[in-house]
Amino acid sequence: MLLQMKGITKSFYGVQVLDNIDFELRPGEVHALVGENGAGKSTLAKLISGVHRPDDGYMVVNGKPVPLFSPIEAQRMGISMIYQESCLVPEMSIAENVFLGSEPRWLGLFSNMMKMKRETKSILRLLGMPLHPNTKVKDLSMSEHHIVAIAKALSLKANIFVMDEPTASLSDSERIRLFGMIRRFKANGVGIVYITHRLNEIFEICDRVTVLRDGKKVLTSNVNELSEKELVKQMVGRELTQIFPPISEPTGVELLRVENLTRKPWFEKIDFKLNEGEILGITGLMGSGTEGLAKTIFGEVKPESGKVYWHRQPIQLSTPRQAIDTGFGYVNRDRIESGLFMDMNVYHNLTIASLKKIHRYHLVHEQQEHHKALDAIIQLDIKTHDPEQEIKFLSGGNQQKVMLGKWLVAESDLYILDEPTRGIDVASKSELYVLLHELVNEGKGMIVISSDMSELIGLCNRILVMHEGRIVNEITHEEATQERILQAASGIRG
Amino acid sequence: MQQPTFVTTERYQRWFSRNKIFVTLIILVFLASITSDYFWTWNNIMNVFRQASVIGMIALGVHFVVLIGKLDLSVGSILVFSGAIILWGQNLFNFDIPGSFLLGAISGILLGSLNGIIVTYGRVPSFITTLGTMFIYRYFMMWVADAGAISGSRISHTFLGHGYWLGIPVVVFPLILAAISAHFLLSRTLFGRYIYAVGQNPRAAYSSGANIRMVTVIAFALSGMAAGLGAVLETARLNSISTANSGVYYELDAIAAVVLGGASLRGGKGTILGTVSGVLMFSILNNYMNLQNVSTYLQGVLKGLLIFLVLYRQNRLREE
Repeated sequence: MLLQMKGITKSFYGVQVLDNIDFELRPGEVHALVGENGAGKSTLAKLISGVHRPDDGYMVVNGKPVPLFSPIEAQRMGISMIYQESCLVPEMSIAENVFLGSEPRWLGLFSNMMKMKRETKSILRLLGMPLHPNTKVKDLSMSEHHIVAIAKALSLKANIFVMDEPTASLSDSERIRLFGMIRRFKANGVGIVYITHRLNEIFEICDRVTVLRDGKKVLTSNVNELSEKELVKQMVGRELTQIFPPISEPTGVELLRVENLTRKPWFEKIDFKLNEGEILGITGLMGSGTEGLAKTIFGEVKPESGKVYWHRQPIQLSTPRQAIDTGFGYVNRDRIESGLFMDMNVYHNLTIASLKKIHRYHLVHEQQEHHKALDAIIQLDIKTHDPEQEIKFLSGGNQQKVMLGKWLVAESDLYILDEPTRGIDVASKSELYVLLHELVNEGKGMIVISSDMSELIGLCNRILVMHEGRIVNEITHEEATQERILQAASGIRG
Repeated sequence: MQQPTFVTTERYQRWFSRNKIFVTLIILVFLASITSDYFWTWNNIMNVFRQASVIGMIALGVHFVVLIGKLDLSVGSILVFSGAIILWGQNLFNFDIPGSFLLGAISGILLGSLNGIIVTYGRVPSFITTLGTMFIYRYFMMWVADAGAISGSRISHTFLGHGYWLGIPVVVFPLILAAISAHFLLSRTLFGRYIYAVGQNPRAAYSSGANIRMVTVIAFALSGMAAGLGAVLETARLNSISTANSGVYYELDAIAAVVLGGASLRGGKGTILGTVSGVLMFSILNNYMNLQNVSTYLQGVLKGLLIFLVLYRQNRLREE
């Protein structure tokens, strides 16, 4: 047995996050850890990798009991973790980041740059990302960032890997390569704890699965003895009938029109129209310009040319402030870097974009603030012990909900959502979809940028597919299939 | 699922965990009181406050700059610049106390805004900007005054600097007023929200509609204003300002107090209660050491050690 945990209990600030958890990992197995947001998956992973210490219970690693240990000791014992949010040093090169803290040395003094570069290159090649090891991390895109974080974890000669949502920002081909590596590790007797929200991945790569619900272990079972439906039922505690609500007809009143919008090198000559009550999907492979397009519409970046019409009136937005005042709301795909204020409480995070609506003589009207924020908390079912607690104590999925809640509080009319369901569990996802539908039924418009095919197909009235900065295809809800979207996204004309 | 609940005991706990420095201050006062007979007397405590007044005023301003994750090294020089202007106002135009406060505030705001404008529009890091203006402001005044001292003559200012009202040194009242205003500004106004937002995550603040440039310029302007008001208190206490020797190291004392008060130099964290506690802690330490006849030079060493000790403890607690 590689890892054995018994009676693990952990609470934060009086809130019990894990309650008497037993968990074990055999050599050569991929053990999935699933559950809803806030079920305690990430906390359990952090206990394994020594970031947190359990309040009660004990752990045995490689046959040795470990009473208390730190991330460094965990690394020394052969435990390596891939975090949900990668932490790399932007100013350092890829090779330096990969070997940070474990640099191969000459005479125990000078770091062996050649060896670092060589090994980095070979790991990156295995992951299918032929980046130069000298590239600085700050110049990488988000998914490349993630690949480097994975490479960093893999470079350690570990026999226990903890992977927290490793595929969250990977493309399909990168994911397949990662799975290839996982299979190779398995053959060498390495054990992997695999946390994910994507159920199909469990059936694809995992051997056993442990389900957590509200900090308690529900079951551990072999994956092949379980159906997907059964698994969801165990996670949620009830049966989920339907994931996507029916698509409703847009009204036909024009809300937003974009003409000839260009911002090189991200995108050029973008034309589209969005009606009231419509959900428009935009998708594309990495580097196809979807993120830049969203930022430009929201006024964070100025376009080189082109026009934007709002309610048939031409508008020019040069700051997000103007976009917010017009009624736009933008959920960024990167919640840590540009979405949330980790040391602010939930109230303040929810109302930061709508302070203009809740003040009198520039004084914050706290009663109104709490009122509006609580509405959003209830509407989105944000699980928080106390809204005056800092948001860093919320689980990742609940943080994601706060990002959307911010624009509910601001009563936006246009929602630009970039990967809105990243890191959100199945049950919350379908609740969120229902909520999005309620919003568009009120006549609001929505642009959903996503790489999740089933989400696009199930949610959107129309899907625009981008390839290398241009819209290459427009697919209606009725005709949408995964193949069609992927074909268009990879630039194949069909 | 758990509905939002509001538990009062938990609120107290949180308040204590957020204001550890205040608790530490109370402990320090207690320890000083039982080891020295004279420490816990009205006169001496008032002395502590009086000694804290100038640095306290400056630290309140620097607090805003630290909150947005920047530094202001020019406040000592602004104090000299504003001090000279205040005394000229007294000597040449016969300004009384209100006039002095007005001159101090205006000159401070102008000099501080200049810092802020260079930082935002010139995109110069605040450390470099204020290092530059630290030299410019002070040496400009030294050049004008030929590196000499400027003296004032008005009796009313002596009352502000040395007088008592209701048994409390008059010089403490502006500090209390400024601390309450700063707390109010940070906790109740939109600007307060934005300043924490910009400090914690500038990119997110920008996409949430905050005007980062304006917030930055205002923060530096407030820092300058506080230094200008500090100059009023300094000139009232000393009745003169030395362009070469006044205000030296004040910027570092102020930053030390702010950091000791729990503010993070990376921005976004820190309360006025913390900064005031930090200022008082240094003042108490000096006062106590004087009572115990410890050398002034050794006091500086102990001051440095106190910073290490408190911050070490804070970081330990934060990790757990």
